[in-house]
Amino acid sequence: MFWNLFKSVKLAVFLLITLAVVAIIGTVIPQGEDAIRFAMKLDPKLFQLFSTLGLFDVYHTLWFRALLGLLCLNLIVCSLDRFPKTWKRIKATPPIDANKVFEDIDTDQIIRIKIDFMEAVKRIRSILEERFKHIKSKFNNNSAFFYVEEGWYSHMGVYLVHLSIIIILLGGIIGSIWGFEGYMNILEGEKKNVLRLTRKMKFIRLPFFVKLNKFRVEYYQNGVPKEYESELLFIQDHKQVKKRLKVNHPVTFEGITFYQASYGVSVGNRVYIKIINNALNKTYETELFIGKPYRIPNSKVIITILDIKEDFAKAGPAVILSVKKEDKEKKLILFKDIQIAKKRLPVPMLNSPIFNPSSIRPYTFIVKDIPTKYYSGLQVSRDPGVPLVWIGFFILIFGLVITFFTSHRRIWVRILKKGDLLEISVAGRSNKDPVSLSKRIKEIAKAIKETSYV
Amino acid sequence: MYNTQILSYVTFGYFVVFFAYLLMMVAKKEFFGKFASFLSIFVFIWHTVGIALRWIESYKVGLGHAPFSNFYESLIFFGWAIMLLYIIMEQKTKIKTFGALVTPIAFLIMAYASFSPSVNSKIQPLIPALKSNWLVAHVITCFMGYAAFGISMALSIIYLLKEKSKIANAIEELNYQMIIIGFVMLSLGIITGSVWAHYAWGSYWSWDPKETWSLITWLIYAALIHSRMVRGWRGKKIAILSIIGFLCVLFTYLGVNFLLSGLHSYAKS
Ligand code: HEM
Repeated sequence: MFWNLFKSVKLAVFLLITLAVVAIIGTVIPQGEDAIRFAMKLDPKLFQLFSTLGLFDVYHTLWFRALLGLLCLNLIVCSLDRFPKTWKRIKATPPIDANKVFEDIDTDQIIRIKIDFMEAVKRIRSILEERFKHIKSKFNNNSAFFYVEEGWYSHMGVYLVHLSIIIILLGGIIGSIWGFEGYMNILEGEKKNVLRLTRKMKFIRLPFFVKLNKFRVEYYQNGVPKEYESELLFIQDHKQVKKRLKVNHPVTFEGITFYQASYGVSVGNRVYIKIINNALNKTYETELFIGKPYRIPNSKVIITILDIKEDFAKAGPAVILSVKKEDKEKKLILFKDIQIAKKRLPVPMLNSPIFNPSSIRPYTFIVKDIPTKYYSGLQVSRDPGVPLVWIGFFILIFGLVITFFTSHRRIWVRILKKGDLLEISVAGRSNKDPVSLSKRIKEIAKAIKETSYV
Repeated sequence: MYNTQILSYVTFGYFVVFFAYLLMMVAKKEFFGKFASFLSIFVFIWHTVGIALRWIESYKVGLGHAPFSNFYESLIFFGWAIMLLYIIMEQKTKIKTFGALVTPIAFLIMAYASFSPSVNSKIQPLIPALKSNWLVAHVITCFMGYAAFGISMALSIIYLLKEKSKIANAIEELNYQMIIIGFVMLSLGIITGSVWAHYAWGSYWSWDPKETWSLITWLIYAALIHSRMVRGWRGKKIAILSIIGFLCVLFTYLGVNFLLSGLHSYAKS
């Protein structure tokens, strides 16, 4: 029952189509991180159903994997069931003196000549020896038969193709169990060993540090990036290794591979700020670091940078400043470029004291500069399944070529004595591809014809 | 740019070829058949020249890359691959009637590429991720596959129209040959694409919609091959499956860009 179900090709076709349909569902319903916006629009009951079925992450659900497992089982059972028969078919030698194959053959497969019988046998043998390894022959009173074959491996192609599917899926499983995939953004000059896993809210720690020594980017005239690369330094205990990482040219350290995936600019942890004391008509300029309090000279006012935003409310870089005066704390949001902010933000918002750089008397705060730094976006992964997948890919293509573009050909040559003439005929059988069989036969017939006149 | 000019003449050329094949069918004169075959090869050579010139000209403007990187270039190559396979098929089988169905497909693809305002024919700079030989191999194999499936679809339509005729069996056999070529090429296309993705993004398979749709297409054709091979389906059923398969190809190529979102480059060009 089990065996009969899983050896059937009906099930195979059913599984292939089912997988296709499930894959379609996964492209129609937004998956993973895109799913959130879509899910919010759904009816709660429908949402419940979708998420129980795992429709927001179809390709990683248990039941999708189970489908793939069934396909593998199907493949294995089917192959085990058929292989012995195929092997027998390959090994079986048909009767060498098969007269049947010579029925209904074309006239150009038949040659009639006047030549000594033994001479003909000798010449035909040598023609066949040039082309085939093993020649079987059989002689009767009035006739001689030769039998040759080629391309027996053609039957093996299908098994290779099917094997390759199993190998590829195995590679995938190994990767998903023992591998990981994540990303990290490193600022120029920064050293990191933590990365965030893709599709999971989880961080992992690498057994070494990665430092971004330098980041370089080159642009085309129209502003599209042409090339970018990171100069990385890997640090493990006392070992330090420098590597250059370019797009499409990953580097590997301790079995973990780094890919140049993206880049960007990021604000650092410091700003240059100008403080004007309007009462005293005095100006101070200073460099401030996030979280590091600074006392304005000749006063009891302490200011601290709480945060530096790359892009605050779509109006450009901004600094969030806390101003403490005798236990009373006020916050200010200072834009780097107030002109841009005036264009982008609504007037009522701008009028609120928090955006007014002079709202805390007698001071006016001005952001002189927010130094930016490049960060390099690195995709980091370890996938022990990859070599297996590559091998599977290779076998898949190799198997397809054998299956589709080779054939198992069996060819017979018969010499018949007809009065003082000899009738030599060539015929054959093939598991597929009748066109190339008939080409082969005609080529042999032509060779025989040519030597017969020598 | 001379290349886009030549390629727009080529578009017009395929229209003339189409007309020649039609004339052959209506007039039933061998002369027109010979003329059509000659013309198709002639225009195809100019098509090849156009692509080669585009390659050369890309170096002249300082961008220097193989002409397989944006939507326009993929369409041009798609048309080229269809004509290449068609011409080989015609030379091998000596059957010319399919020309009247295949050449208009090539014409429409070329016309879309050359004249649609939404297709940018400029030689564009390559973003770093697209600079990869795997990507070139990926585009070439995929579009060879798409072309074979396209011709198979044309043959299937002819088969459904002429099911009772004498050449029905020959069409069916030819159709399967095309599906086989397409399947091998699509397999190679998916493989080279995933090797490229591995080197560029660090993951050989990430269920991106385009990736997924190429897998769907592949699964459909695998199902077709099995039903023919093992269940002995022939003729009509195979023809219908092949048409469905080609609809999947079209969706993979165009539908995904316009209807779904993903990281493939053509989506934005
Ligand atoms: C994605 C998965 C699969 C692929 C790519 C695949 C591919 C192929 C190919 C290329 C052929 C050769 C067709 C020909 O010679 O014209 C074939 C034949 C075959 N396949 Fe599959 N196949 C897959 C899954 C399966 C499964 C799950 C089964 C399970 C029963 C199966 C059973 C067979 C059988 C019985 C044959 C005929 C073998 C013979 O000639 O003796 N295949 N397959």
